[in-house]
Amino acid sequence: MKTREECVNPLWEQVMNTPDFAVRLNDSLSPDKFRDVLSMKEIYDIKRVIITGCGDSYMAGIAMKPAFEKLTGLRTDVMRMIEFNRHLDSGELGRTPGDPLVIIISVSGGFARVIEAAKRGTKYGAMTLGITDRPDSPMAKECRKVLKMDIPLMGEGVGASSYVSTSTTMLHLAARIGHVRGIVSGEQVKDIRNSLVDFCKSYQAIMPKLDDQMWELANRWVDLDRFDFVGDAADFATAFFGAAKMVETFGATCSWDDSEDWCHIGFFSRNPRTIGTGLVANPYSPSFSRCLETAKGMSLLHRPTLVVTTADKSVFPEGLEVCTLPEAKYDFMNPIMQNVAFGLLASRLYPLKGIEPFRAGDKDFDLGGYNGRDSSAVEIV
Amino acid sequence: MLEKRTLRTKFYDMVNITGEIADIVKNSGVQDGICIVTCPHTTAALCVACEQDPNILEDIQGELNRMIPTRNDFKHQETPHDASGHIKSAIVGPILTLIVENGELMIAHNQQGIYFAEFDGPRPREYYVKVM
Repeated sequence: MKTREECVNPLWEQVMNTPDFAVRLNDSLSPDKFRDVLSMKEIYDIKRVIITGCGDSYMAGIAMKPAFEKLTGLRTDVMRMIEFNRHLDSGELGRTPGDPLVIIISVSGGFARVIEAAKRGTKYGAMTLGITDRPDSPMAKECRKVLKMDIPLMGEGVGASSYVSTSTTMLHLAARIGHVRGIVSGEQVKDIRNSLVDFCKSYQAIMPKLDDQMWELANRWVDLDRFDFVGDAADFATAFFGAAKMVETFGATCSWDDSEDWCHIGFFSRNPRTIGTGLVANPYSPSFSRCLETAKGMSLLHRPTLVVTTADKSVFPEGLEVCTLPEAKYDFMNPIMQNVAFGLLASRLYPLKGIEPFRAGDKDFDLGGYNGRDSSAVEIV
Repeated sequence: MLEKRTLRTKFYDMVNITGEIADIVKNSGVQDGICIVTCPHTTAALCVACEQDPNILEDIQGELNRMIPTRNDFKHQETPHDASGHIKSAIVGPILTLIVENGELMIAHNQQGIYFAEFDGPRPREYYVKVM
């Protein structure tokens, strides 16, 4: 078995640095940046918000949907990019000038599908806003507006978390829109900003203990290859994030669902004792009672289960691994940071398993230069 | 003697600060002079208004809103409330000069009140009082 030091890797460093990164990110996202991105008239033209993205960006959209709806007072839909690009009726885009606001999230802004989303939204009259780290990217050039994230550098070898960056940027954007629309006061906007920094700082203190817990769990779960993640609404983003990290790092066979559909479908997966299961269950969630019932099902099936929550361990059935995390002043902030538990677990599992992330060196993945993201044809329907 | 007072306003608030200013005047010991009240804000103002009917205070805010409605095409692009608040503040004014006679404010007691007018908010605010 490898030692803890031998299992240090870039993902682990990135996750461990997430609280510091998030604090610095908030400093870099000045109020001026958000004041300049949309004029007051443009904000008042918006009747509906559509958020779309792929992978971590899509998850960040799901994570921030409650914040967007609460702070802006606007109906907000988070769409999978293929749904937005190819299946959403074009009549939904541009019913009136500048409406809806279509937020397209991509750190690089270079993939075929995000360029397509920007082109389609703009063509049919929506107010397309690209959130990206590269304002000169092909996607950004197709958007009417661009919001640059300004991801702070955190030292050599430590990358930035796009999920934390995009969700934080969207939270500040939502606060700005809500302020202009008179939903939240200037004082509340300041309080949201300060509370988010305090919340990120509260994670700084717990990271070593959290790392201990995930290291221990990774050693118990090292032989598991099947994983299942469950979370509802904004917590689905955290669950989805956990699943994605298990696939990306060591190529797990993975599923992700909400509590209700898990009870209908995922419940029946064979050999439950061999399925590593992640459940995100927060007590402020309107479906917390259903999550507790789901946890009971996982316990009765003897599934190896990690519960990520702000609640005390005593609330959940015995035998489940419970990771109790700090609680934000505003519920809608919790998904920005709760991903660190699953991130740390994945960062410890893949070196313990001896598997390279993203299938590096795996001959089965040598596809002669084919890349499903870049080579896809852009079509506007 | 310069006195500073703080308050927490509500959205589009009219806060009666007559009692506090009267106390400051009384404690100053000045018998005949002037009392200057000022607020260091640009989306709030000070005014003297009738304190007999709270509807009058609503009318003041309401009429100012009709004259200077919140629009989204102000050149100042903070928020519509903030932008209109700057104009209201400039019109109503952030300074009052009151006469002190026989150690008391010379206002119509039980009729006139001194008000801190909030044109944005809610916010922590402050004002200063100088009696001489």
